[in-house]
Amino acid sequence: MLIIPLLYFLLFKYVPLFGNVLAFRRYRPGMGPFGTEWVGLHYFQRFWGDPAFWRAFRNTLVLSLLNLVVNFPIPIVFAILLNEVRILPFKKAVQTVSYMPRFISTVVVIAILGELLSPSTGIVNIIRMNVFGQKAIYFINEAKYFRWIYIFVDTWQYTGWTAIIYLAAITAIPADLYEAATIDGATRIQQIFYVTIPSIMPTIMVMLILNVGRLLSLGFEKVLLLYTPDNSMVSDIIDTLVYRTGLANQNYSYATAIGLFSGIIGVILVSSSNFLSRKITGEGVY
Amino acid sequence: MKKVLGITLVLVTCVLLGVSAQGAKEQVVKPLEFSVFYSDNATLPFKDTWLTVTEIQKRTGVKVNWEIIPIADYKTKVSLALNTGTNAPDVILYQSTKGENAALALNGAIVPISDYPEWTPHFNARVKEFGLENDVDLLKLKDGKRYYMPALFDVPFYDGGLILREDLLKKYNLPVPKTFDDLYRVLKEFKRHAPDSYPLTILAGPRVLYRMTMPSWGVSLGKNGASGTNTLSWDYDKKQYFAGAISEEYKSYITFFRKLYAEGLLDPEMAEPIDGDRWTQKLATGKAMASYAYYDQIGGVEANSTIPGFKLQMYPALAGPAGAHHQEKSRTGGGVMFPIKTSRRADFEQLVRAVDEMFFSEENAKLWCLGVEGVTYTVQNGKIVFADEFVNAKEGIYKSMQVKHGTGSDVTQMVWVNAREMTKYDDNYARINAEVEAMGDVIRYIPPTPKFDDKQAEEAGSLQTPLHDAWERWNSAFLTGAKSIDRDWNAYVQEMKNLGIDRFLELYNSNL
Repeated sequence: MLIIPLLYFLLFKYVPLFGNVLAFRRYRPGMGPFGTEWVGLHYFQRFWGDPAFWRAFRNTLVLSLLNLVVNFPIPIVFAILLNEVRILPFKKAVQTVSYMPRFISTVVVIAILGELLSPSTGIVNIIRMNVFGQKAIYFINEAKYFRWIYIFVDTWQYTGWTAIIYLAAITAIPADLYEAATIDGATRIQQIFYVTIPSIMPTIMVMLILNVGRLLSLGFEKVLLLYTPDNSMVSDIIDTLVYRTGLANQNYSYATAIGLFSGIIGVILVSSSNFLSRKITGEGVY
Repeated sequence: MKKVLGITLVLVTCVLLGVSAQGAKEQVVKPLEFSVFYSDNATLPFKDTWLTVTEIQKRTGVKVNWEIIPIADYKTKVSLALNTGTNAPDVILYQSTKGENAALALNGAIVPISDYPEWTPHFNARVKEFGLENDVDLLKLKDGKRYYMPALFDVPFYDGGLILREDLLKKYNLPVPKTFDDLYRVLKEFKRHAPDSYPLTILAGPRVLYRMTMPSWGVSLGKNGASGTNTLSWDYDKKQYFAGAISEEYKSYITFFRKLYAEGLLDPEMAEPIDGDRWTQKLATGKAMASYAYYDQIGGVEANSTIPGFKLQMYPALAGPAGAHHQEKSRTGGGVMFPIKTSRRADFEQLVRAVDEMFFSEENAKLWCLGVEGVTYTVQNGKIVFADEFVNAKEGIYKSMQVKHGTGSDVTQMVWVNAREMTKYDDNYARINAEVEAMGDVIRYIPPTPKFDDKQAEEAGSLQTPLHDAWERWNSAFLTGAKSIDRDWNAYVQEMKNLGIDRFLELYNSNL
């Protein structure tokens, strides 16, 4: 049985690694998938010297970090709160409702968002205009709202889903720990702080390290769909830049070089956060 | 058991006899069979039971294996097939040698079909008939060879343009607009009567508006610019490119639309995606009264409106500083391409001849456009009369016949005769088209693609995207007033120069 996942990782995760050779070779259409001649760091130099790349790099980091700061703690808090709910049907209902959005395709989510936020027909602006007498705001097209829209959609879509992992970790906490805490006179709040959180700390750290490793890979479709020329100063991330310069123009070597570069940054981020985590909390992925 | 075997034997013998008696002719020559990539559009899903598809195979005795690929994946699929050479079909439809295909062709992945003129007599005849020798010549690449058989148009269509409320023009006693200044006055008047409205609204993002109006200023820029360069434009007098994005022509263009925007005449809701329903609703409810869109969309809006007397009309191109022009169109379109693998088939010549006959012969061109005489249409006194089911169809002859029988699909129809097409539309549309044709060069040709080798193509490609990004950003800022056209113009020009627009232009002009 183990052979299937092994094969999956081998075929789809390890074999494609060799494709990275394309970052150092010139790809000429129709003349072999691994390029025709060595060009050294030519493609790397091209994007290192490109201000658009560094803007995209900065946008990616800012958006990712903001997203991490906001959306990393929310599922933890949500899971702990949900765990304290004693009415079972209510708890189940909340859990189901909150993780459902995870299954809606990004395209649909953005279409719904477009409907809600439209300056002419969107409910948000209609309320703003008719109830509060304010002017309509074109949320989707204004740079200053882009990051918050992105983060809010992520919260809505993934909170319930991510909370499942923490809920599972909480369920695994032995009941005698709570019993002992109760005997020692701990209140419900104290139980959360002195039993629940320390017990799920390993899970939290692993999730954090994994998230840090993914800092450079944001939800590509979502950004692409929210991208407009007006918000491009903040919404152009590495992936959308690669998409436009690399894939839309069939510049495969260039796209591979950028992909490899963000991969390396990802590895550095994961290993450094793992190192820090081991130093500080004693927990790590490896 | 024996009985069963006996019956089976008898049956098999009967079938065999029947086949050999009926198919004596086909037995002699093994029927030709080949595979085809077909780009499938969600609004017109391919069916292998379409009358056009079954009839063409019957007429030519060819068995075609259609590989239906959704249009969104088509480019990737074709690119993959041509790049690797494996899994390539024998024929690829809906292709040109723009972009990556040019490099693939020069590197030997595609059959240079211009090397075999004697095998494509029907194609040659149509080219001559329509006077398209020059247009077809322009499709040759750097090595002087042409790598596909394009679709051919005798006269380009005026299928979209300015659409506005004819009933309101009459109500407010306004003359039909002929120039963009007229349009400004019309929109101003509309706004005066309905202060809450944005008279000119936008379909599917501003690119539709831009591509249809910019030519009247002598530029064509952005996502759908005629040249595909996004920031360069073609000088039709000097026959060379110029840096349209930083030209005075563009400055005058964006100044005009800035004026519309600032005075609330242009709908500010223009970021993609704009869905068609919202656009329809705005026009149908009177929140907007004009738009740049396509003729076949008028019916949908009118059907949705409850306003008494609601009437939309399409108008010929308006005159701007550079005359009255509409979106440039090529008289050739995407067409048939053969991957190099096909040329290694023993029956290659037979295959090319069959394809030529299937798509370009006079008789079969009619089939792809009109269907089969006696089934979809009849000829009465030299006039084409369509079957009642299409004439009475709610969505019109063109669309109903297209969905039912696959006629008029731009993937398979390679020969487009304007007069023949017009038989599928109403008189009003034919009248507008005749008017536009009489105005002269309203629809000009698409600028020629430079003959790059793959290194130059790579350099041009790497300059193109950053320039386009910057142009989109500045254009939007100028339009909305975030940047001032008077004060910030020089900074904009400087940024475009820093991004290498001059080098980009030089690459294009030195490789024509």
